Amino acid sequence: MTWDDLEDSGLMNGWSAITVNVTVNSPEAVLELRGLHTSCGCELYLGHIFLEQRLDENG
Amino acid sequence: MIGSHYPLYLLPSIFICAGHALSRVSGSEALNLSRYMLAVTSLMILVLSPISPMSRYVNDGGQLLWYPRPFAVTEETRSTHEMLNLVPGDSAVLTQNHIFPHVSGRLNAYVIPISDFSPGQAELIEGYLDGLIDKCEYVLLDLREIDEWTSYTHGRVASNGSFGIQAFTDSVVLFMRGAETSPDTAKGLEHRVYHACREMHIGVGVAVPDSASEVGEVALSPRGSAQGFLVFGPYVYMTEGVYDVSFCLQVSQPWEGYIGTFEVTCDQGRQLLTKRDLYGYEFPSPEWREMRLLLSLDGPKELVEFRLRTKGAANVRIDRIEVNRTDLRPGATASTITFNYVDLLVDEGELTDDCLLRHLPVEDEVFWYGPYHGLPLGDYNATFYLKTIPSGTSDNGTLVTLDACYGEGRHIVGAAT
Repeated sequence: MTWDDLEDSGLMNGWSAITVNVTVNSPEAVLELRGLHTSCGCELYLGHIFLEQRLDENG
Repeated sequence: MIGSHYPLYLLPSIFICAGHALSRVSGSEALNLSRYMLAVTSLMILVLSPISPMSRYVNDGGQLLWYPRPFAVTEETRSTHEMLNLVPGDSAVLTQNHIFPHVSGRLNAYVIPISDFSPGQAELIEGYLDGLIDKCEYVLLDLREIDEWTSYTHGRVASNGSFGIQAFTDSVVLFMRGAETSPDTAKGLEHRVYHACREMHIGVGVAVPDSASEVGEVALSPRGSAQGFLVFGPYVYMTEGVYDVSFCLQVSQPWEGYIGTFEVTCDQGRQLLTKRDLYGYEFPSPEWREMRLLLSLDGPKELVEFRLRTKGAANVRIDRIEVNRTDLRPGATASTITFNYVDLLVDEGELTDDCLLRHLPVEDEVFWYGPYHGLPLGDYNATFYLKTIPSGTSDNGTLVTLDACYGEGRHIVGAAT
């Protein structure tokens, strides 16, 4: 994510919501969601992660 | 309630004894004895009888001498009678103690034990109940009056492939051998609304008037109140399927941090089905908002509870919870869920006072990882709620790398850089 990706998305105080597509293709998979802070130019805050199943148009 | 009628057996003896005593005296002695009896009886009625207004204050509705709840024929009572009528008179039926009087005239009616047993005896009771389930064609359970053996019976019948749900309400379920549970079984229960100040219980909050609510009042957890459940309940029965759950919320205090968590549980709150963490940054203005989540149930669940846990950091109002069974999501196999500081692991970051995870500007360092959550096969969206504060150092490059993986990071199943 760059500064442009983290533009204000209608949340309070400059918070942004970034969505990542995830495909689970193994029944034994135990999901891990990681964040790697790659910049020394900012403090980074995480609130929560929202996980929902992506359904096709019929669903 | 079986048990409350036991004192009635004493009444004939008391009347016979009173008549016998009066027959043995005469004249003024009989008159005095009659007066004493009348005075003592009147006093007892005044103090103890439920029909006396004074007795309510003396007993304070205690259960020692009173029926535990005011008698009322509710919609649930009527529905339970309708379910009883669905059971043919010659069919074997298993039910609980408080329903049993309605079927006790039948030749093949059986009751679930109500006592506690030692571990050794419990094994025998399990075998006894398994035998009853095997011989019964119907099992009728009121899951708001749940105890150990009702819960055991429900678990065994629900997982027994030969039974299906013939009918159910918010709290009562009728299983029938050979029946197939279909979406039509839930007819009339596809759309349920639970108002915070009507069908739910209020914990750490208070009921306050609010014209935005169709019932005229909502539950409020004011800023500074204790942490706990603002509302909880209504402990309902839900069958396998996919549900849209929405809850109407208002947050009127500027606060960007953690506000609380909306949880869906079953088994008397012991099993968490899913949760939705709530943060102040999702509420930039003090409007009523409908928060949504998808609830996918892989089997029938007893005593389903919806509850809103609040931290006391902001003024939070909740009006109602709506549950809609939906057949429009055939591919849905997983419930919506959120993860936050409770679920994630952090090596170098810190937890702020408002329950946000914070990481100082250090390059190429893992901020968080986890929560190691099992999921059914399928495609998902993982939305990360992030905020950055420039530290003054110029940096136009990548700020953060997000990825989803399993197998200790060996298999990347989603990433954004």
